[in-house]
Amino acid sequence: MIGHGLGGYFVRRLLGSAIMLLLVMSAVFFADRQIGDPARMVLGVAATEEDVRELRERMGLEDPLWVQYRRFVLGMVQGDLGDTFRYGISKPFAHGGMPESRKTLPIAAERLPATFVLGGVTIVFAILVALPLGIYAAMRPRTAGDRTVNVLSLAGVSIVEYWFALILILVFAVQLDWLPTSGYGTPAHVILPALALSLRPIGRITQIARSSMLDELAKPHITAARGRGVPITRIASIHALKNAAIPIVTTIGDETVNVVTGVIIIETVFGWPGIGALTVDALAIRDVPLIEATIFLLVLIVLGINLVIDLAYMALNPRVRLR
Amino acid sequence: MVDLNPAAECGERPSSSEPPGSAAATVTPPTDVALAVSDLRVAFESPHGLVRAVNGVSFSIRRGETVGILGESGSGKSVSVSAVMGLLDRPPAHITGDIRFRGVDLLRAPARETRRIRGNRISMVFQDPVTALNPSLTVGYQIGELFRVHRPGTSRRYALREAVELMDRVGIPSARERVHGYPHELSGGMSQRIMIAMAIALKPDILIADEPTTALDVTVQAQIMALLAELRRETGMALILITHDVGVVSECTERVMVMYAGRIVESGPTGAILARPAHPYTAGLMSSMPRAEMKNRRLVVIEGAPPVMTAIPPGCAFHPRCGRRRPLCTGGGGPGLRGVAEERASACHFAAEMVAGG
Repeated sequence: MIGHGLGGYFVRRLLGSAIMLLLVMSAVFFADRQIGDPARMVLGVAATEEDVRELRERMGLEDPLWVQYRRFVLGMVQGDLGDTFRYGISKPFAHGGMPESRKTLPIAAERLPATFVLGGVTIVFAILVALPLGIYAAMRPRTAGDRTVNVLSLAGVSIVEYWFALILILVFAVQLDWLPTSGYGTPAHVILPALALSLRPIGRITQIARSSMLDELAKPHITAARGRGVPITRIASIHALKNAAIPIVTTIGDETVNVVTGVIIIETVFGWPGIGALTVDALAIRDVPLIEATIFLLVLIVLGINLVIDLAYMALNPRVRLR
Repeated sequence: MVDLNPAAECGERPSSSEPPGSAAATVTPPTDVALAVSDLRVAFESPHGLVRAVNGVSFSIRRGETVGILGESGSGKSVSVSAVMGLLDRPPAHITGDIRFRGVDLLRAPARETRRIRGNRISMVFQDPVTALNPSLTVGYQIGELFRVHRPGTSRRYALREAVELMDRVGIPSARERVHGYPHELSGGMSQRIMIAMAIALKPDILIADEPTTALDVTVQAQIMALLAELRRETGMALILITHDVGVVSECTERVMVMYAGRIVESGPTGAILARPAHPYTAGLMSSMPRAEMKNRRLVVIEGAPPVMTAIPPGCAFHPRCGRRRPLCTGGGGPGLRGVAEERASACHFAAEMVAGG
């Protein structure tokens, strides 16, 4: 049972992730073929049918669909999603310079560090703000402090990110001139996009932290701990939080996934050279292999986050821990 | 004395030969009083009105004695000790009266002062050990935490060693391994042993056991009661045993207080009360107990149900269910707790009659 259980679990888990990846990428593949002719996009309306056809052939778009699909799936297995359509034809991207390679996966992977910085700062900041707020509110239910936290967290969940991003730029960058409007490179650059992205996670994590702590604080084992003279701060931070952690971790995981999808818009708004901005650029120029590569990496990140959450469950709940 | 439970759960028969004291059970010499509760009243705000759970309860606990608090669910026995333990949130609870432990006013002293007493000088064992243990913390952590909380500076290792020793003491086999285990790996009886280990960890003056066997299998109930009695003998702590089980009271306690509708309706030495109850409610509780010699006979039950605590009947709260009811019982504030014999008190107009055998 030992090791075998855990190993079996991982094999099943990885298999599930691989199937999920294949399904999502297949959907992307077939959707890609519906967004217009990439060759025509590249050559412009003045180009002859002959030229367009030739380029389509070079892009591999003239092959039968099943041949393209097989090439696509085999490419995923080998970690090669093909060459970018636009490289060398024109300056392909709004952000960054020319990529070193024509292969789309390395081009997309180059953008990951910037996205990880933004996403990491966002989620860490959100946790640091939301957790104390939620615990504070749960320890004083129905007081003015609790109500204030409730209203703020509801606002955080409700406010639209890109609208909030524009307001932030308007106030802190344009009017107050405290922070740069966009760009990358210094810690000051990360503040506004991280703030814009963290609003919803802060709201959601606060709400879940509050409600699950409230549930937990009403349990008999908390009363028993109080009866043993355990200080209230210790009861909240150890006795209750340890049990409330599972819904909170689930929410943190969900919100991390939401941040990954949120970067697509926020990176574009702030000119942040991450994979989200690249996805938007690739879509705009119908660079099919590049679209596929960026989405492939985004899906991998989401699956990775889910795996981490599952591992966290095992660490947190002694009843499901496989030893 | 009527032997109501021949199972001898406690493994001992406490002597009821108390030194002759004053007439009323609530008055005890101040020197050996460990806990003094006077005119305790607890009410809760609720959507249905004020729930008057405890309505003027006074008692004191002497060092080393074993006292039973007997009553049905909703009689206010658990709420009374929860008030002593500071477990009631105010609001919704409104508490008046006085609870004193060694000169400390437990209702009015600052929280950090009462916190030092809870779990340390007065400890409590709860009804359901499975829900009273934190599922995410190891049993060793939970036991050891007591030392770390009440004796600042205690090292983790020392706390763990103490935990193993305590688990040994309450009869948990292979304590050295189990100390790292989680509550879900333990049976109900073992869990209650852990709760008891925590309750005796700092050698308290008073241990309150609130229905400590109700949630357990019948087979382990006797073991737990025997363990409590044994530890009480060894440590000399006072034991307050809350129960609805006349048998447990009979076997394990020297003195008993019977509660009904948030009041003490009878108190005194256990043997004397069970031999001749001085309140019809006590008599009713006794006759609703199954006994070996009553085979094939129907159990006698107390007619009716305990009152709704938002609307306690006027006069004697028990009168709607009482066979001795007279017009006198149905009005006014009801009879107070009055001395009826040596160390005995009852809140019934006919107490003297009952004791005399009427």
